[in-house]
Amino acid sequence: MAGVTSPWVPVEPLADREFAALRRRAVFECDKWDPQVGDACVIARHPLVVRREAWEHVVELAEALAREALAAEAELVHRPELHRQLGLPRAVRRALAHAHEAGPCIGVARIIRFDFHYTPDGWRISEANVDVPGGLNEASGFPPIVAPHYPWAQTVGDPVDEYVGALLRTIGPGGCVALIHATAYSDDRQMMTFIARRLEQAGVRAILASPAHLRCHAGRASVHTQQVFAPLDAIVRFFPGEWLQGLPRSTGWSHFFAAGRTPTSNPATALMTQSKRWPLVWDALRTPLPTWRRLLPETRDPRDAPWRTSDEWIVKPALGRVGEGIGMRDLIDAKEWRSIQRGARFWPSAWIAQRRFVMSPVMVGGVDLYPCLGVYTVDDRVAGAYGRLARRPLIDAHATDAAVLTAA
Amino acid sequence: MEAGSLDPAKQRMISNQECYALWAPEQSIWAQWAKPVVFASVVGLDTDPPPPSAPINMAGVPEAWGNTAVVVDMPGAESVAAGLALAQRGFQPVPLYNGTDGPNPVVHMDGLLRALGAGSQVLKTVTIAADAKPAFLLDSNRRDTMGAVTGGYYDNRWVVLPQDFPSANFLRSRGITDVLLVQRGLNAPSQDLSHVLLRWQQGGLRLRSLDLATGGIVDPLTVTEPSLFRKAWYAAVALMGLRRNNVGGFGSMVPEQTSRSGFYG
Repeated sequence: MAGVTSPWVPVEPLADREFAALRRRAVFECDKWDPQVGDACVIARHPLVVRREAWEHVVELAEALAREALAAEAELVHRPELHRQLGLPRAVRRALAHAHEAGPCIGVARIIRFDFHYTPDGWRISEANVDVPGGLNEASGFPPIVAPHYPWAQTVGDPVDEYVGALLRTIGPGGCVALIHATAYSDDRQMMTFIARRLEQAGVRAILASPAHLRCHAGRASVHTQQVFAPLDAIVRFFPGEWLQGLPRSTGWSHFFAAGRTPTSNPATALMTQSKRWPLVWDALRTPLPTWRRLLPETRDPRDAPWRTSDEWIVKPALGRVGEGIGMRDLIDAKEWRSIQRGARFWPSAWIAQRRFVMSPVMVGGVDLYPCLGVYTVDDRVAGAYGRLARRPLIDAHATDAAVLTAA
Repeated sequence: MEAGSLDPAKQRMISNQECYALWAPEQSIWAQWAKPVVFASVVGLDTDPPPPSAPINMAGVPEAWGNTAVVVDMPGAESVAAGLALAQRGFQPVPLYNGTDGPNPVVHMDGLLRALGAGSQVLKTVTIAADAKPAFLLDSNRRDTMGAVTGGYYDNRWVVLPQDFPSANFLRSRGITDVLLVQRGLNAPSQDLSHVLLRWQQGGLRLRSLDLATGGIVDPLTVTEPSLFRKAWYAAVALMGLRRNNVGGFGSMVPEQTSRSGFYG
């Protein structure tokens, strides 16, 4: 793959006036309620444009990754002897062990986001958000309002439309869906609001709720608050699987892992392949994982890699998200690096070491930016994408959100 | 009905987008910090004048052509009224209200929303220079009920975080050397705001505090770093059931069987 033409199309950012209008539309039409972080606007002034043939290649890869991940998850449910290596909390492991006996929670509209990066050796993924992928309001909302400014480019799909469609195939119009999320967390709230609106437009009753409002009887879930009592036809879970153990027992949270009869997107068994430690059990699985093996950089237990002395290795928390806690010595400040070192040394079974790759940048307005192409799959079919760009090769909370477009 | 469109029969209403545009005018550099949440979570706002509140006397506030930015930390509608009074003195009010409304809320939003709606009509009549200094507006009710919440309430408390404001460097780049904290009945900043002010102080900005109840001014206001600074901060956030994030936290229904939802932290 070395020497392959860059998949990124250089673009010019929008002018101030055009961008101001776009920013406002993003706030009100896409529920982007956190457009500013400190001195930085986190909405990109430009799209991330990927060449069409490169996009088609990514689609093939993402669908293969999704198929393999879902097959591996199905096997892992019945391989409790491997769960300990995944770095999951004890209460979660107990719930997963029950799934082996009682069967996993029923899944519906399985949604995953794979974070692709282009390197001199071709495409790589830094991680897969198998449990609760975010960014859907940006991925569905931004492209239609950005694309008219770049008429030579086209959108790559609307993941929320595909997602709602997949839910509807199971529950049908008139059903009732709870969107369970960490309601005190605006990133989650804004995305749930966006999806709830699309569900309502499709004739589904959508209830925004905290997971603490759930009750479960014989595996069937309902929402109980002072205002609402509603049996549920499906659950959209946007609450990290490893946080479920903190809920009161009365919520029946373990049904997200085992014996849940209310179709859930996603079942918490997804946490097994969300864990960045799951490559450590690949050799013990019967499920073939050729695409994962090709695209995910070599991953080891931190005790088995020279990450403290070699810049070729980085460390990540097994259940880290949005770039939090990634140990890249040359890109983070000394204090953060010391904290990460302590964590990875004292609790190595909750971390991984991963071989570092070099990202190819994209030129935007004469400046090199490092892109991440987050590709969504719904039931193993690609549904769309979101883009994030950073001024350094580390995609974290300071990266900007960009519409993804494609062009010849 | 789509967000931003209104029933024509409701003549006294202003759409959320129109109202936001008046409070966060595009020509102002400070508009990018204005929080959209409170506007985005309603379709429209009533423009009828809200019930009169205590008179706002801004005599202790310097004219906006000085080098001072203002932070108003007062209850709901009174904070909006203070912002309007500061607009009359040449400041650009910047609403940083970061809560949503909901059934049976912990922090009542009605008064604030009415004041923002009515205030938007006042702003139409005021000319504010494009380079006006900012007056950041906070609702001091945002965390007053901490620890007093019982089951069944919609917990819409929130906190301010340093990333909700411009940095000291940015403020200084705009010619701002001083920050005045305006409150009623208080001179010391609230705990969450003190973390913002501390960073500004460390960034070379001079802090002052004005108590509108007494007219008393603390000059300079010195914010000290609390012992176990980070632990206290994170503990406070976790206890409130909120977590550190881009725009602070808001909006959780307090569970029926527990008085807190602190697992988010």
